[in-house]
Amino acid sequence: MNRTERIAKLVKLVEKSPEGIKSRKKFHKLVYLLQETGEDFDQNYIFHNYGVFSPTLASDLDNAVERDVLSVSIEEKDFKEYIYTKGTEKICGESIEIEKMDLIKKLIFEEPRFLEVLSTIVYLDRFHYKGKELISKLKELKPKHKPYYDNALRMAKNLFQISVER
Amino acid sequence: MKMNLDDNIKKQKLKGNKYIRDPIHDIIKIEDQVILDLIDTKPFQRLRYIKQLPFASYVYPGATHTRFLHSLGVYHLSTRLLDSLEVDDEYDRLLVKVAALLHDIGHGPFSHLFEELLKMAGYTDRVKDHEIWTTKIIKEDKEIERILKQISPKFNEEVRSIISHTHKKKLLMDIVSSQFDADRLDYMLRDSYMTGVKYGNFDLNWLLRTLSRKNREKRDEDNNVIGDEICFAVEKQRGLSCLQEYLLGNYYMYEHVYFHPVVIGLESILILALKKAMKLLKNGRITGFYNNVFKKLSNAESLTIKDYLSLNDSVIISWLHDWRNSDNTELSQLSSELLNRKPYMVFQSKKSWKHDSRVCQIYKENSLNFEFQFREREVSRLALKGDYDYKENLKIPLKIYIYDRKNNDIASFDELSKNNKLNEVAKAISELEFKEYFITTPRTIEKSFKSILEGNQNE
Repeated sequence: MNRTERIAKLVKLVEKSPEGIKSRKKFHKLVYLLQETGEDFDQNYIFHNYGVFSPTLASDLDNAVERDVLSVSIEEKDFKEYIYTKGTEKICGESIEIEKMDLIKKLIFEEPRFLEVLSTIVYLDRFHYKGKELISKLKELKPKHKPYYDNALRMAKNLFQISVER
Repeated sequence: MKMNLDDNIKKQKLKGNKYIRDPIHDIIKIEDQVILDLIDTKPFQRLRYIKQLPFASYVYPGATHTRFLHSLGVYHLSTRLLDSLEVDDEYDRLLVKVAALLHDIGHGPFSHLFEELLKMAGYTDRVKDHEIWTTKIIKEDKEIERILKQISPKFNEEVRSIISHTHKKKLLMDIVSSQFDADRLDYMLRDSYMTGVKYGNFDLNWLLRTLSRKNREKRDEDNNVIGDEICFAVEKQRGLSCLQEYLLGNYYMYEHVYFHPVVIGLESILILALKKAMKLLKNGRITGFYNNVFKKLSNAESLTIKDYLSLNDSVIISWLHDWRNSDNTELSQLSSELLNRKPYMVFQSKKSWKHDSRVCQIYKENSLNFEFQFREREVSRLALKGDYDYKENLKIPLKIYIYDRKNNDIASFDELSKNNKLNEVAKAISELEFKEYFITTPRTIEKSFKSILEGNQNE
């Protein structure tokens, strides 16, 4: 994909969420999870600061805002949150489609912290962490996200066929 | 628990150190039985048969060094980094040394080309990524598992967590894998020395002297501070020039070695030959030698560790020798061209040509098979910015940290140069991007392709 196509796909993703995508964290995790199911966003990921992160996505989001195809506002609560909505400019490549609409509907309204746990599970599974070892590593990496473990593990099983016995 | 760990580490220390001579580091010292045992395992010994730079020796005949030697070099440099950064904990030290030694154990034949082959065959990222194979081999190979267990039941997982970037100690991970790590330091020096291309040489000893451990804020994707982390930084006052020499050296090595046209041209032929052979095999029409693993590859079937480890450069070269006599003209021709060093032509362009109808037309007019005689590769030359595939118009920050002793301040190379706090050379390096497409075609259509390329530049 060229950059315009990559950004067009991100814009499409934002369109699917009525209130926009709240927080960069959510954006990064959402795109990662969609890619893991085969939806191609052509973004490269690393594991950084205990979470999946895409430097290429970060750069594309900045560029999308510069071009005004995406808009960003910042909400300051206890922490800063960047909220992405559709911008005023159109982008060529808007004909680019997202296939996994069902999956997006399941994930788009989830909290960023939930997606953080889910994406961590998927990442660990990719690196052959299985069963009790995966759970133990998840607890080590996301100790403050315990309330999200059960649902995330359930979703990991249903959507990614990652089976983890506790 | 800690005492048991310390005892286990002490117990496996060699009574008398072993020494390996090395053209780059002179002498590599081994003081741990675990390291010696790991070197003797079959997965590690296999690295003797995987070249570090698969086709560079066709341009620079001295570049015959292997991943085996490079891995020993990375092990050695990880020890030097541990010393420079004053990491004294014996467990942490052994962890890093083992991870450094094994970091490339998951490489397929022809190194990064094999990942392209797996992608072409239809495998997902989960299968094609060599780091994932590395962690799989460390986890599941019985020899390696037995050796690592001697330290502690958790040691195997911790080695894998260094490689998968999920370890809690960032400093240890960064020594093995970051934009400024033992891996890059070794391959730059080694590739420079073995090819004879001097640009990759830099003052390693001095650079190591300028490193120190620093605390910095850890931030999440929304730039919120989420904690502290220990990283390592190059001191600005004493180390900046040396660091810049290393960064520029990396740039020039890409220009003159890694992306040399003959290297790219030969890589293309290998990929196309294997692609052709896979197609023939799928259609039941291959004549010539291959093995069961190649059959699995052709059908994108699941590969076991045994399958994966059975492949190395020599195995595939032996197939190509046999395919020279194939009934299929294309396969026979591609195999001969590779073995006889007849690389495809390589053109560099700022745009992609694979969907251009004029290219298809040229192939048609010359009775060439576009599917098996055209390859386009997207590259980013400053690979220090991360081992990312080329992405058009992308700017990735250079995340090497610089410590300013005068102001007691730490920031990344890019941040400082953007704010004019480094020199002009640093600014130029920070803005240095080289992103292009390399297009390879048979030599018979060189003139035709050149003319559409030049015509496009005039438009």
